[in-house]
Amino acid sequence: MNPRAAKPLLLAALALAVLVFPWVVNSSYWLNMVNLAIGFSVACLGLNIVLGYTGQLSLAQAAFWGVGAYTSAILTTRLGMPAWGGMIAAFVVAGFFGVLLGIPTLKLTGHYLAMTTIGFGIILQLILINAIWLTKGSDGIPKIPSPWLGSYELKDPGAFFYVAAVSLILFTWASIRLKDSRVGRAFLAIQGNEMAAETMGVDSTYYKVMAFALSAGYAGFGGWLFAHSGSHYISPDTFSFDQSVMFLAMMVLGGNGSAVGSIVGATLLTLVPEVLRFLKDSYMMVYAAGIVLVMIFMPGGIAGLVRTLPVSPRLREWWHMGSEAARQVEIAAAIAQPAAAPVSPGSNGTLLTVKRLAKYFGGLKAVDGVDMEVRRGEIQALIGPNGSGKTTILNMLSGLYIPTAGEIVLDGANVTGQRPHVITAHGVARTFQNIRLFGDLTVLDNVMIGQHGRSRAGLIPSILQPASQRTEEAAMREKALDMLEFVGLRGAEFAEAKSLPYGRQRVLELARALVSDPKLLLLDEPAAGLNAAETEALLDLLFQIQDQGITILLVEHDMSLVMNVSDHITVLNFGKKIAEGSAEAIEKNQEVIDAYLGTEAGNA
Amino acid sequence: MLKVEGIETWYGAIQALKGVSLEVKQGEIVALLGANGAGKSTTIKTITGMLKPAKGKIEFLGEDITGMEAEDIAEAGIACVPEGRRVFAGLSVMDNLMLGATSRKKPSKAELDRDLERVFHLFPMLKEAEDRLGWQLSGGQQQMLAIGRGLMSGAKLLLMDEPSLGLAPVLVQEVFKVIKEINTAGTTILLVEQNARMALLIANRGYVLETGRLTLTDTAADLLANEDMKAHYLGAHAHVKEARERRRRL
Repeated sequence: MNPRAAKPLLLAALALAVLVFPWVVNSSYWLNMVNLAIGFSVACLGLNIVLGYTGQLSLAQAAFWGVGAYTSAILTTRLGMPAWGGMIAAFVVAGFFGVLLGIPTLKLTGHYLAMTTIGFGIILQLILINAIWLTKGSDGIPKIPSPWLGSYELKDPGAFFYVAAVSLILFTWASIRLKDSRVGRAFLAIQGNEMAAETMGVDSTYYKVMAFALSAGYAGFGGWLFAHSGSHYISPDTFSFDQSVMFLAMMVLGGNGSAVGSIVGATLLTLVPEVLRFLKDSYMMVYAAGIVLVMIFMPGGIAGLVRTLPVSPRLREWWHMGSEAARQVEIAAAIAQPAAAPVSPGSNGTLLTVKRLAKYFGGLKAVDGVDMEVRRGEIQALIGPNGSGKTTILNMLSGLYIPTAGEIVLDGANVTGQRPHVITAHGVARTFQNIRLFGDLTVLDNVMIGQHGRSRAGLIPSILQPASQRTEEAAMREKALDMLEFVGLRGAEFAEAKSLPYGRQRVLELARALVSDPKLLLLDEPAAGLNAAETEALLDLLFQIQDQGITILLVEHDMSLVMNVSDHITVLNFGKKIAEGSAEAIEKNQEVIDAYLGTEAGNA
Repeated sequence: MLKVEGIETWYGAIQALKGVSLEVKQGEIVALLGANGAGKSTTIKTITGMLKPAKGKIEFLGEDITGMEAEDIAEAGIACVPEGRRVFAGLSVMDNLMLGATSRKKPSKAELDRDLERVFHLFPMLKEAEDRLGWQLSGGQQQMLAIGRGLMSGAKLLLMDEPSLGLAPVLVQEVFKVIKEINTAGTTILLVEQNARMALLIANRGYVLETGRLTLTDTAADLLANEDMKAHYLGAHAHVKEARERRRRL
């Protein structure tokens, strides 16, 4: 069946299943358990955004869950606010606490980040216990009201199930949509390689805080579902570190990065212990042993297991056929796109001026007062022995290092010491010496992320996907496909970037940089690991890029490439410039021969 | 010394090696050449036991080592200088070198000192930088360290994967000179290189791999003179002027 026709049918089937579910189950006990599982699921979906998408380990999810529950409980029991108002407040206030956690932890990664979030969670729980005037302390808050629908109170677990199920579907839908949007790609890029993401124009500070806020908001909403159902009673001990670990277990069991997986994980870990209760005393032990076994034999979680089923690739392909991306790929293939019209190389003049640039690492003067100019439309090479400071200069030019001294002026703007995404916005793109692709993402997505700085869609448009967002996405996709065509990677759009052979990965990295329409392209050893024939192909590609009016600054050791492609060569040694000039002049310069080229230069 | 017969290696559903057979004799330098994705590194990884072949046989010094664990193969006397150096960034130069000797069975202090002396003789720079940490070394120094670490294993056969990758021309020449010296001192070498010309200048024989199959094998001198090789792997060596002219035609 055509997936485009099947999708509405599947939705209708889902709606019907939700509608009849309470009638089929017909047990208050089990419906309460399911409502609880849904509350957990929403919190896990949030954790999936911050950990699964963005790669930031947060162990404070239960605290945000508690903030949401308490916010709504206090507002509804003390101030008589309707439960629906409490719902919005739970989401917003928890999201605000997410920002509070996000900002101070930006510089931290891995276990340091995890430690900090644990501390944050414990502090919040202590506040819940000790701010008795606000939270009633350890006694907890009883009699939390149910939401009303007109004059009907949604008190019965079957009635509340509808609220919970609709919320869960909406949050899942938002998560899935988000993953395939500009904001979602920024999250995934930060997880894949934060440094590369920044040079694509992704402001990692902004997006990490956004991920924390969103994740906390989800948790807060889950807390609201919890507070207004079941026993209608909350107390601080529920919102403990243990529960955060539980959320983590649920998400990892379901499959890191998979929204549906998070829900399956949360549901299993909530309901299975109940099913096992007939084992009496040993039921928790069996349950725990089960988790351990699952983790050992299914490291990718349930979503990972599903992905390895023989039927999965075909199912995915079928589902994929209905996607907008696939449709555009078909269209692009039908009308062979002519390559972008060559722009005549810009008028002469200086694009980049570097003055007395220096970078010291402790006592090591990696770059020590280098003056350099790159003229518009030219290909300039930066060569020199290993450790002479070439990559350090590129890192300063792209904002990854802040210079110790000196000045970088790009097209009239002083960009010295600016952050990478700001410099990218000024028209600088780069590739890396040791390839930094987003390996788990598709080839197409890698090139889409390259256009991050050239696109606008924010969080809300990324989820709701109005016409303006879809138009922007389509234009980005079209451009990405053109770029893949240009570098010869068409046909591999949906392959995982890491599955490409080394040489093609280099080319993909080049495409990702080019797609941002840079004025200045910085290439760090693009020919490393390429053989003679591949290097020749690269040489032609560089000339074509130059024909589009893009200025290139190239760090490279392959002299067959450097000498043939460069308009101008700058030579460094020990962080200082030792020579500069045309290829012919550099080849004959004795100091360069001694320090760098050696005697076999022409042959290497 | 090393005899590889018809090995087939898979990455999941993708077959990377489709029956590769090669031989390295005692005292030789053998070059393994080919384009990206041809299977050179896969061959190295299969020999060292990092990957297991689905078919075929690997013999080392008359002993069947097919399917043995990587650490056992290292103990049998095959060392590897991996692509991209892979020095231990947080350890000192000295610790990196001593780790290279891990696979030896109870070496005497004198034996280790002798080999260490030999490494320092080849790379005086490593002696000077003895206490520096791996990450503080430049690319060239890291490559020297990786080779030195390989030598510390006392291996009879040294596999080298792209030793010239990312090195300045003057260092490339230096590294190849050292490889020749190591060989002269008695270590047999199987060398994987993109820089086919430099590799063949020091090698005795060469094999050319194409998409998982051997397509050409000959003495190094004949490979250097081979027209096909010139076109594909040795580079046309277009002089600066020629490239500029071609540029004008584009």
